[in-house]
Amino acid sequence: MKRYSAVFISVLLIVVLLFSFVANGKELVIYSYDSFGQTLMEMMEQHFEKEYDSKVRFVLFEDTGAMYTRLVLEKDKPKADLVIGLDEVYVIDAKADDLFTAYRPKEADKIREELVFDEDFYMTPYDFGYITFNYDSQLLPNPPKTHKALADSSLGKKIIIPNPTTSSPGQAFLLSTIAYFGEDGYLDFWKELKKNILVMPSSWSIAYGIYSNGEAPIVLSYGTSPVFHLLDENTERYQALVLDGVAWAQIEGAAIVKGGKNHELAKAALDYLISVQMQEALTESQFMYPVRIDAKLPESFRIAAHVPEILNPRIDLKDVHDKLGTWIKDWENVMR
Amino acid sequence: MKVLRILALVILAIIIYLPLAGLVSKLVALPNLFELSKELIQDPAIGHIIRFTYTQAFISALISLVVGLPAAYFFSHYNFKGKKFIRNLTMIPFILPSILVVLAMIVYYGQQGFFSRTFNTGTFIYGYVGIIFAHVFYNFSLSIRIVGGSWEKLNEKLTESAYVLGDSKLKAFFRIELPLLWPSIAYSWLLAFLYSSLSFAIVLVFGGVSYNTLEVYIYTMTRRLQMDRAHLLAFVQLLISFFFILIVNGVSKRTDKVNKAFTISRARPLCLERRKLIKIVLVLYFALLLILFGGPLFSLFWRSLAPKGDSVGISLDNYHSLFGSRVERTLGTPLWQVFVNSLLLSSVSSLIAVSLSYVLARYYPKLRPFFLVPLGVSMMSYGFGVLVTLKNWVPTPILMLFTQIFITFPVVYSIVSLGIEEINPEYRLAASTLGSSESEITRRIYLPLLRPALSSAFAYGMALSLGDLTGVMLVGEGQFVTFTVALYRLIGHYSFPEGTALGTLVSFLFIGLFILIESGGGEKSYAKDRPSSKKLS
Repeated sequence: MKRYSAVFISVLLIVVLLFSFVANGKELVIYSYDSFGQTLMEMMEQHFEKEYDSKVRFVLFEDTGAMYTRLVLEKDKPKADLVIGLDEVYVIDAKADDLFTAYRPKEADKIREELVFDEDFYMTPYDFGYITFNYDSQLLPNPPKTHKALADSSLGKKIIIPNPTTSSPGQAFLLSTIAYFGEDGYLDFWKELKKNILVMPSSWSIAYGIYSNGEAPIVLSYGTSPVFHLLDENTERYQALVLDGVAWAQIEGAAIVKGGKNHELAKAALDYLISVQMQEALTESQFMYPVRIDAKLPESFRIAAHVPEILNPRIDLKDVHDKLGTWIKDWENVMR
Repeated sequence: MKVLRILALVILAIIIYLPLAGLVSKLVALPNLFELSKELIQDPAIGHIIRFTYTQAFISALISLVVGLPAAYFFSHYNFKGKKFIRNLTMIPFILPSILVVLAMIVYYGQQGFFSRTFNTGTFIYGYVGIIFAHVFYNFSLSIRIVGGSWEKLNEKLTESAYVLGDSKLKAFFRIELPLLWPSIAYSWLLAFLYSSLSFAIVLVFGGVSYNTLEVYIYTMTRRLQMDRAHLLAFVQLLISFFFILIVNGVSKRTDKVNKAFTISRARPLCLERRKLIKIVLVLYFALLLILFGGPLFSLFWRSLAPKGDSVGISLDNYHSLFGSRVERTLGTPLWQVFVNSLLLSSVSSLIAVSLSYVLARYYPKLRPFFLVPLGVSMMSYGFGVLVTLKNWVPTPILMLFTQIFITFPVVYSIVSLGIEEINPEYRLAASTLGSSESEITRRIYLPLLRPALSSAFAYGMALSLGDLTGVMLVGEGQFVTFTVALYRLIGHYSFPEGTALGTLVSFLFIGLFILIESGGGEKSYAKDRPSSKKLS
C-alpha cells in the first residue's frame, strides 16, 4: 500500500508542476466568452506589450450567462478589469447590479448612432450581427422571402431555430417577432410557424451543425454565416435570408468593471477595441460587423445579409428586461 | 493505514460536499426562501416538468438495461473476435460531447438520415421516442460493463448443480443467477436513470418545447439571472435523486454468504461446432446492435471523410485542415497540446478516482449512497458551489482534478465497489489468519481479483472526463484547452467538419488505448495460477 500511495503522491506533484504557471507583474484581466477570437486576443496582447509594457490575461467563459453570474459573484472584490461580449439585453441588469463604471471611449462619436444602446456608456457597443435565417440554395432554390411565406403550410418541416429559452440568437429572433408583429401579434405568427419547424436545438452550434449536414434547408443564424462558407469552402451555396427587409441586430458590448484594479489600462483597452484596426480585424475573425462608420468591410462580406431596417429600436430595452419572462412563458404555451 | 483511509474520506468530502454545502448555505441565507418555495410548489408547470424528467429517465434506464443485458451475457460467457472493440465502442457516446452525439443521431436517423433513407422508415427521432432512443444509445454500455463484470465471475457450478437437480436453463437463471446479479443490475439501472434525468441537449433537440426537464429549467432560470430559483430547483433535484439512490441501495443489499458464489473470471472462446444456435443468436444480436447504435457513430466517422466545398467523394481534407494553421488559430493552442492536456487530465483524474474508490469502497461500504451524490447534481450547480467555496484557495491544477473526480466518481465508485463486494470474504479472512498485512492483502488478493473491474472503472473515468466541458471551462478559464473545449471552439467558429474529424480521432485513440490496457497483463494468468479458486466453490 505504501508503494501505491507513494506513486499516487508523486503523480499528484508532477501534475501540479505541469499545470502551474507563475504570474507576475501588472496585468490587465479581461473577461470574455469562449467564441472571442484568438486574432483579437493576440492583437490586444501585442498592443499592451508595446504601448504600456503590461500583460493582458483573458479569462474565457462557457457562455455569457456564466460570465455575468461570475461578475455578480465577484462584485465586492472584482478580479476583472474589462468585460467583452455581453449583449445589449444585459445592460439594464448590469446597471441595477451596479457592476460597471461609465466610460465614453475616445472615438465614441465614430460609432453608428443607432447601435448606441446605452447613452451613459456603462456599456459600449463594439460589434454587431444581424440575426437572420440562412438557406441552402442547393436544397431550396426558391426560399420564402416574407414572414408570411415562411409560416405558410406549403413549406413543410424545413426550419431549424435555436431554442429561444436557451440560446441568444433564438432569443433575439423571438424579440424580433415581438418587434415586428407587436406584443399582440407575435404569438399568432408563431402559431402558424410552428408546423414548419423541424427542430429547436438548445444552442446555435447544434442548430447550425444540423443545418450544414443537410437535415433541413433553413436555419436561424447570423447574416454573416455565408461569409464563412465562402472563405473556407469557396462556395456560395449557403445564402442569407432576410424576411420583409427587417432583422434584429445582436449588439455586443464591452464595459469597465467597477472597482477593478487597473482602471486606466481598462480604458485604454476599450479605446483600442473601438480603434479602426481592431474594428476591421473583427470582421473575418468574429464574423460580425464593426460598429464604426469608417471601418471598411472585407470583400467577402458581399455575400452577407443585406438588411435595410434594424428592428431593435422598435422595442424599449426596459420593456425587454421587464417582460421577457412573460413573453417567453406565453410563447412556450403556444408552442407546446 | 488508518490515516490514509481518513484522508481519502476527507478529500472526497471536500470535492463533493463542501461545494454542495456552499450552494445550500446560499439558499438558506435567502430572505424570501419561504415565499419562493411556496411559489414553486404552486406552479403547475414545475410539477409537470418533474414528472416528465423522472418518467423519461425511468423508461430510458429500463430500456438501456434490457438492450445491454444480452451483450453482458455474451461478453461474460464467451470470447470471440472483435469483443474488445465492440465493448469499447459502446462507451464512445460517453466521450463525445453531446453535440456530436446529437449530430450522429441526426445524420443517421434524421429525415435525411442514412438509416431513414436506406430502410425507408421516415424519421422517428423528433419526439418522445427520440429522447428515449438517444438516452439508450448513451447508457446501455453501463449494463454491459457492470452486469457483465459480475456475470463473468459467477460460479458456473451453481447453475450446473441446478441443471442436475432438474431445473431448466430459464428456471436456473431466475432462481440462481438473477438474485446474484441483482445488485449489479440495480446499479446499472440507477446510473442510467440518473444520467438520463440530467439530460439537457438531447431533450431540447429531440423533444423541442413540448418536453422540458428540470435541468433545462434550471439552465433557463440561470440565463434569465434568476439565480435563487435555479439554486432552489437544483436542491430539489438533488433531493429527488438521493431518494432514488437510497431506494436502490436498500433493495440491492446482499450478504457475505451470497458473495461466495462469485469466483474468478471464466469467459472462454466460443466454439463454433458445439454451440451453433448460440452463435447465430450472438451474430444476429450484435448485427442489430451495430445497425442501431453503431450506425450513428460510423456515419459520424464517415462524415469526417467528406471533402470540403461542393465536391463529392472521400477525402482527408478535414484532417489536413484539423492539423492546419487556421484550426490552431481558432483553438489558440497547437493540436498536440490539446491531446496531451486531455490525456493527462483524464488519466490522472481517473487514476485518483479509482484509488479513492478502492479505499472508500473497502473501508466505508456503508457510506455508498453518499458517494453517488454527484449524479444528482448538474455540473452547473456544482460549479456555482465551487465558486463560492473552493475557487479562491485551492490551486488551479488541483481544482481542475477535483471537478473531474466529481464528474467521474459515481460510476467509477459503483464499478469498483460492486467488484469488491463480489470478492469472497473468505480469501481475506484466510490471508489475515495466515498473518498477511493489510497492504499484502490489497496487493495479492484485492488488486489482482479486481483487475477487470478496475480497468472498466478507469475506462469510464477517462471517458467521462474526456467529455466534460463545464468543469474544464470553469477552472481552466479557456486557457486549458482539452479535446471537448477544442471541439466546442471549432464548432463555434463554423468548423463542424474539422470537429467530426477530431471526434473520430479521439474515439479511435480511446478504443485503441483501452484494448491495450485490457490486454496487458495479469488477469488471465491469475485465473489460471490460483488452484484455490476451484476449491472455494
